[in-house]
Amino acid sequence: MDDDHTSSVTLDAAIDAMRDIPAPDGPPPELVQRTLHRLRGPAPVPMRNNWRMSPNWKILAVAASVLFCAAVIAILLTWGPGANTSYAQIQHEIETAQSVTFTAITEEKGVRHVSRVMLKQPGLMRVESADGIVTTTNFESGKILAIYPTAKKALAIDLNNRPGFMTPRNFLDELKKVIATNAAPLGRKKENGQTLQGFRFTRDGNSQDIWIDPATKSPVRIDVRGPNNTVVMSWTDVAFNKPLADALFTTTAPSDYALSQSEAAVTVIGKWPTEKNLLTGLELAARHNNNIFPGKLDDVSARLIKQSKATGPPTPQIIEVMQNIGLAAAFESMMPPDSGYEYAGQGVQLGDSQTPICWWRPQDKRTWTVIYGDLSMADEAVRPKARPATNPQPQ
Amino acid sequence: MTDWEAILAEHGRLVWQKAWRLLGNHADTSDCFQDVFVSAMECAKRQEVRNWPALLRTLTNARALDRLRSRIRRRDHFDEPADIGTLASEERSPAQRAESNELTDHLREALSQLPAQQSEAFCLRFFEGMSYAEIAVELHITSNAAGVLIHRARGKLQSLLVNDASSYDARFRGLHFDSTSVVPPHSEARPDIIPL
Repeated sequence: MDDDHTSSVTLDAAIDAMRDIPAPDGPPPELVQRTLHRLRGPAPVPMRNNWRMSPNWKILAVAASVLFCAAVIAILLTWGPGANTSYAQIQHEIETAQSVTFTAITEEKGVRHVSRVMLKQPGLMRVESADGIVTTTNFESGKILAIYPTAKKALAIDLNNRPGFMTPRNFLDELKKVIATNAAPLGRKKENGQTLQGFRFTRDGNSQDIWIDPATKSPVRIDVRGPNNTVVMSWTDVAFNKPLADALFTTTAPSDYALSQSEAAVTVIGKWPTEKNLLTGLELAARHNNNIFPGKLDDVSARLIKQSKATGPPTPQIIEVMQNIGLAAAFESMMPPDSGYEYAGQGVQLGDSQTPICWWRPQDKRTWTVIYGDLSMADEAVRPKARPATNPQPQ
Repeated sequence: MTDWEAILAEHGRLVWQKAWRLLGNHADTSDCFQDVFVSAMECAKRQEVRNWPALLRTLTNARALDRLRSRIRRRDHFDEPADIGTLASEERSPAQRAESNELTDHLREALSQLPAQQSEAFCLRFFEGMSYAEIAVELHITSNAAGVLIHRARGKLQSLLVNDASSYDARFRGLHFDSTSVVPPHSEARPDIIPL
């Protein structure tokens, strides 16, 4: 084969490969909305007392990835141990599995989320979102890292400040426990030309349908059902025991990435942190601090966790408070360094309409977004100055 | 008044898919998607658009190639996000997937090194299946000039791809990939089959 022929074959192969690239479903509805917004021109800037979504979509996308990861975690946490074996071969494959990979599909309010998930013993998880964001979790160390390669940003979250109920688990072990419950046969169905045989494993009113390939006896699809028997998450392309390098699960950010840290427990599922979440978290933090804003949001979180550990499992109300404060802290953590974000609320009375408690400059604006002690928002031309804290922080 | 909502509903998917093919990740495709429609709006202000799909196809290629050139210039190993679109398909073996990804990466890089008009003509010809005459209309050149552009683009791309071929082959031989390979369970020795 001469050089010309070789190069022509290589080019033709590359053209074919590019023609065959599978594109995910799209455009996403939010992209269509953003595009329409651009085509119709800028919307008027809302002023005081208006909620606004941050325009920093790439940063929010990091949050979305982290929260999607949290959703995966939460759904997997609903699984627990059961009793008898009903399908020995499925059980054997899962029991001996050292890793599992799958495509996770969830739908919230008509928006479909697709991510690639990899789980590996002991307690490692990696979620690759359709946004291109990669989230790695080490449940042994309690570390989460979300990286956004295009923006070269990374967010590290330490789950060690989590509430007691959020103890990290080895999710592959959870799957192994689920498989040990009694199974009800679901019969066979055809999907994309493939015959699948199903089994339903139920515990505490929630069920998981595991669909296997009758020829190989290997699970290929798992539908996780919620309390109303609706499918809350589907796993497709399930594969066990693929070799997965430990490097895939690193929770150390690349050295050239802009890294943000958060000690917050990110436990809210399926929500994106917005300015509204920040305001809600600020309000709750103040209300649980004698109506005075704390030095840091995490201060209140840490105190509530400490109290929960001393008094037993936290109440649903406290869990909700923790979730909202966690989201607010996540929003703070994801502010880019050049936003000039500053929180200076320590000692400010909740309801003080004259004292700014935090501010930042959005990327597409020259003005500063300022939140005051009465939780009103305003766009100001000048960056506020932090006032020295005068009131001691309640313990 | 242009009904952008209707145009996006009708042609958004076309733009999305074509941009994805050239860019291969969500972030760039999303940015390109918006750029295309903003460019289309500017075109529509200047003159009546009679064939939206043709305009959007041409604009998608042009804007995606712009973005590709920009991306390749600033690229390092971490700038290529892992995307579910390139990860989810299990129909091909890991080796086939890896090989395909490698080929498309090389082609993207090579396309970014061509003069803009050459790369646009090449994409319209080989990805959109346009004739020389159609390309000539889109690029406001003659058919003969379109033919010359495509011939030159093809020659340059072949040359660029061959230059990469030796390192490409070496990497794949080093991983002992072949199209029929089966990955043994519990093997820790070949982590590279999971694309990043």
